[in-house]
Amino acid sequence: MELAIKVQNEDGLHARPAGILAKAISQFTSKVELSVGEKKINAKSIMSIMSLGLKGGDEILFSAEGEDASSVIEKIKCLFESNFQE
Amino acid sequence: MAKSMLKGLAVSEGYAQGPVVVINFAHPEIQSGKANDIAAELKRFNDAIKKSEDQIQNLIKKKGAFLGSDEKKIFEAHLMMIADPEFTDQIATKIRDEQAFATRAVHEVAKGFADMLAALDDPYMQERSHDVKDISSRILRNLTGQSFELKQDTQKMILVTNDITPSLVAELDDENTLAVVCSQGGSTSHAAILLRNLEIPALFGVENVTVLLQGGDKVLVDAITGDLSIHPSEAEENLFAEKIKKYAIEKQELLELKDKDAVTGDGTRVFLYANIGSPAEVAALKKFNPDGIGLFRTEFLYLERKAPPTEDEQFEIYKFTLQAMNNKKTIIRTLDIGGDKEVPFLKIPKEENPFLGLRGLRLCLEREEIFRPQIRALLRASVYGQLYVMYPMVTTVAEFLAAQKLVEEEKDKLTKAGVKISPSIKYGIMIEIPAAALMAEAFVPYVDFFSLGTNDLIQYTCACDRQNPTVKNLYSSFEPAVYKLIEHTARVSQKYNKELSICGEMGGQTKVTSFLLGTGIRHLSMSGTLIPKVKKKLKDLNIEQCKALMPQLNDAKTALDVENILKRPNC
Repeated sequence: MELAIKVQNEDGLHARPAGILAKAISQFTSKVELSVGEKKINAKSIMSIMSLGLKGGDEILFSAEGEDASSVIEKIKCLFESNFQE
Repeated sequence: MAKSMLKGLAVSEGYAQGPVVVINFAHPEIQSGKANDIAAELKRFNDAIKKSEDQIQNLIKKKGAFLGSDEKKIFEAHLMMIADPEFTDQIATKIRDEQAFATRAVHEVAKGFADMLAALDDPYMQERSHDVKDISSRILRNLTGQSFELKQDTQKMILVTNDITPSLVAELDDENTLAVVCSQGGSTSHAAILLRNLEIPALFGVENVTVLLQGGDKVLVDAITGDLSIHPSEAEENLFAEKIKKYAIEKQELLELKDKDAVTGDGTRVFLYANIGSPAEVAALKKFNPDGIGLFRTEFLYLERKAPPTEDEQFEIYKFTLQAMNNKKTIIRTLDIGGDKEVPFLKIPKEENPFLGLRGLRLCLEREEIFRPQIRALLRASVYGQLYVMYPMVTTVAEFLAAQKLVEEEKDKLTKAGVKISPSIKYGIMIEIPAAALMAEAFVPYVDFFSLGTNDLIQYTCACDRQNPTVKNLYSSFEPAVYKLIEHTARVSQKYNKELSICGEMGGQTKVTSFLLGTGIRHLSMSGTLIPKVKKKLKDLNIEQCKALMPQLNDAKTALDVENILKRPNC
């Protein structure tokens, strides 16, 4: 299952949203990867997400594989739409 | 011993003098070579991770009260990083595949991530790379059994070091640490933020300081100018001691003011409120103890997102804010945005002159699908505190009535759906457009309160953009034309007993407080950090003297005239 997102926040994805994202995705068993351009990383890793150096306007792609793939994709969608309000 | 003066960057304000303790942090030993017992190395690593997590949890618990919410987040981010599966997996893999000692594996993997983050063209990410190094340090110290606690005698001292991390700052005995001097570090680093929160004066970037000083040496730390005096003379020490005393007295005065009501020298109560732009700022208001919120700007809900905030999302935020204010007056301003700001989902058509165009209440009345959810969220949240709803950029009574019609409709719908709404919500307007100021009396039968948005009032009255360098000299807090409008509004408010507050910058400018008091205004709203200063200023003012200024101010012909009148003693 895939989800394409355009990063809205001008500053990209800082530690707090990256952490919330990684933490939320880690609750699911599926393998989730985040790719931007040529780079692809493990979306359960806060450090890997941050190291992508995402900026506002970046087009990113989440791909989930596993039993709860659709649930994790849904969760990711909600997080971005609510701008990471916990 | 030569006397000298070193220079650094004052990252946390204050003064300190005393003996130093010099600590040069050496990196824990990284073992190269191959480990024989891989299982043992893996266990050591996992134990070190667990220990590190426990230490950080304890730190958050122990020092939580002193750490601001942002700072607590630093340590929470540390916890998340330690739990990062890529981080721990890569280290475990290195131990297994390369038979690396745990220390080398941790050091190399952490360095890899730290370097990746440091390489990003973003100062924020470069700071995060320091976080990774901080975590790596902690894990390594736990691996090598090094004590993480800074052994401090119960003697007051100034810490001089070559490296400072948030973890280290959090471990400091802040009672006995008079100041911190570090040869490295940047002002926005988290260690600096923590030192500011703990109110420990600090100088960073003092080159070679750990080489130039020995334990026991006396220094004078001036964390206002950034000067570090080494081996001061007795005369210098005495002078400095006086400086410290004076500074402490000033600080204490401000602290004492916090819990006292704001009153003038003659005992007249003045109400001081805070302006905020997000719910995150509410927590910080505690230390200023405002009489309420005079302006809660709601634009943050609409900026930097691709979809408008939902009614529920807004409801949670307004509810949170009202509850946090504990029934103190809370003025929430409806969306005040226009074509000058990039808000894709609003799709405001391109205007020749957005500042005289569809913005503020005009935009909301035009775009009910944006306005109604905000109104509904406010109505629903009203039961949680003392809510004042304020409309921006109002020109005519008709606009206010149109807004109120919408409010009544939504109130009706909610009530029919069984939702409780507070019967005592107040509705009012920003007075920032000259027409509204001049016609304040026309609004009187309909509004519950007024709030003067002096920034825009000055701009619209003088037809100048304060951001435009070619005309910004026309923008002045001393402009007599604006004073006439403020005075007129104040007179109307007093005649009809309508609450009037100031929420523009003038509210927090002590150079014009006497004028505002002289007009009869008693409610001032400002950035929280200005409250102590204004409180102090009020004590130097006397209402009768302020009133006595009015005839002279009325005669003033220029901003300079006004400034000179207000510059006089006791003004």
